[in-house]
Amino acid sequence: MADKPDRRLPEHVTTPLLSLITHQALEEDYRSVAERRAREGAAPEPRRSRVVAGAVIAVFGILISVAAVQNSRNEEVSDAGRATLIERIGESRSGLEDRQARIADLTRENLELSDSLTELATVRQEAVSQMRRLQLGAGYLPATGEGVRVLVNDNPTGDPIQRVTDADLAKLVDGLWEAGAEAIAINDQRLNPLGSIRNVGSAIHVNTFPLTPPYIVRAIGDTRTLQANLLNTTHGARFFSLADQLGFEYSVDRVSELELPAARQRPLSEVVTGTAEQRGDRGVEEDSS
Amino acid sequence: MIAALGLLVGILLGLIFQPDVPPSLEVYLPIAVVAALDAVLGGLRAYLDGIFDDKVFVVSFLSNVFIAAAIVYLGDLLGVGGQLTTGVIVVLGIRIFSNVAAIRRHLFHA
Amino acid sequence: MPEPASTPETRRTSRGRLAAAFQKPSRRQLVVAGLLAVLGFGMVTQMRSYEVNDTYAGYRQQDLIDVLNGLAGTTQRAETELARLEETRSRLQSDTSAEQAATEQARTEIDSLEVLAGVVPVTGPGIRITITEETGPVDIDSLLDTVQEMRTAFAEAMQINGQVRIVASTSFEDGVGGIYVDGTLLEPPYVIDVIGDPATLSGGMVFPEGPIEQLENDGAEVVVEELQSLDIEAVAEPDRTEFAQPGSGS
Repeated sequence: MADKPDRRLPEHVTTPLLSLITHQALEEDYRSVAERRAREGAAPEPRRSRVVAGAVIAVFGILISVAAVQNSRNEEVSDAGRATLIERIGESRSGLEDRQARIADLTRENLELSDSLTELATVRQEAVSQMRRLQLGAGYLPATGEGVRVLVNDNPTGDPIQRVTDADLAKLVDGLWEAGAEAIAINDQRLNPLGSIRNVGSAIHVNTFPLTPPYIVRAIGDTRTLQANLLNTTHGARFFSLADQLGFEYSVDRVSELELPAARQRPLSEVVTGTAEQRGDRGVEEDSS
Repeated sequence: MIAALGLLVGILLGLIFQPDVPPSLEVYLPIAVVAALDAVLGGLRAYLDGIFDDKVFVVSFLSNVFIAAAIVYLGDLLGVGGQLTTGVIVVLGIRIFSNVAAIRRHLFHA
Repeated sequence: MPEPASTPETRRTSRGRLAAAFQKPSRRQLVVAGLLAVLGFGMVTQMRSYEVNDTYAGYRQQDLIDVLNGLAGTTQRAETELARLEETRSRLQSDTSAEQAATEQARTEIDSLEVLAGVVPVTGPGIRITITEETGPVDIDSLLDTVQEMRTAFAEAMQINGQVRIVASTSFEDGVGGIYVDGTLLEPPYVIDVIGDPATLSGGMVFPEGPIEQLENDGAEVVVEELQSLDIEAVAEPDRTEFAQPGSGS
């Protein structure tokens, strides 16, 4: 067995950390200096120690107050900064809420608008549809469909009596209507409620437009029955009998697809809808427009 | 006494002049204050124990402050500035408590 | 200081001491109680103040800045959304106006078209032509001629005997005891109401070799009355064409 060295380890190695700190809280220097002075026999406390101590403590005082002032300044700045930031956050928040409320409003409004727009579109389509039906029937919309084409020309001899007149064409047209025609045009003039077939001198005017022979009368209708019916009508029969008598050149053909132009619409000036009673009998002077 | 007067004077000077601390040193000021406080309380305890010496007081004051600041500065360089600050405060705090307890014993015999 | 061994005596003593403390309240305990009360009060106060108001209590400067930036970003997105919604709304509004305008236009057209198609009663100035058979029946040629002449004179609406509205496709056909107008048998006297300018319409009847002469040649008596206001209440069936469709030129 070897000899254990009988050495005491220094205190600062053996004691636990916290105990060490607590024990060494007071500077050892104080103790050692005091012991030395006691050994040397000098006064326990030199005179000048008070003044020096006072000066050091003054420095300490300055440190404290400077630190306190600095801290309070920082706090002010950061508090002010904080306060401003928090205020701006508040403003930003409320601004955002406003916008979001407006977004909700607009979204709802757009939805309503969209729904009503769909309805309006339907209404418009129906109105336009009705308008076109009326236009078609009255002759103010181009028409297409199967039908017959009657070509009529003056007697080639050039005799004035053997020319086709307005009354002749009127008979043919009347016969066609009676036979079930739905739309009729002579050359390029579509027949309509405001237009007439009239001779001005020797020229036939339809819708006030002069036509030159040959006269091509196109009528849209049921090709299976139109021709036969035409011959059965009074005016139809009269026309063909007259045509034979006077020697007109004519031909009647079935056509699978006729294209009739629209007539020009003239604004109405005298007539108004309703009855005089409905309009309140507003007096003789009333001018309808 | 002179010590108390010195403290008062120091505080007044600090409040009157309100010097601006450069931002780079701002971090070390609190540490310096705590270290200084530890030295001051140690001095007070020594005085009450009857073993006060001014040279030791001055040396302990200055060395405490500079060493504490130096440790924190080194910590900042290494990137553990916050942690070292905490450590220094812990140690200084324990010492302050210890000295204050001894002072209390002297003053109140409790 | 090493801990004393836990002997039965110690245990009895410390627990006994505790028990004794509970059984015998003394002045010392009062002081302790007072201090504990202060401690308890302080704890509770601190805990309550910790959880109170200030939503931003724990936030540091950078956190607040982050919140502000976040809000700015959200606000930006909200602005974009608002702009998009406003654009949509403005588009919807203009579309709505367009639809309304188109519908209005169509309706106005329909009003005049209904008059021309003869599907609504109308009123206005015009003439009344009364044709009475005297010495012979009226020929449908003459009626046809009258209608054509009235159209030339800018007639805007016509009816016969208050029963049949004369429209573009109106046709005349011989009948027994009368005349078929658009399939309806009408008996004399024939009263034709015409709306238009009364003077022009009258002029269209009376000229030489005009309708009146033709009708008188048939053996009828014709009376033309100019009227400031006359109603035409006969209406035609709305046309539903089976074979005619809107053409490509429309």
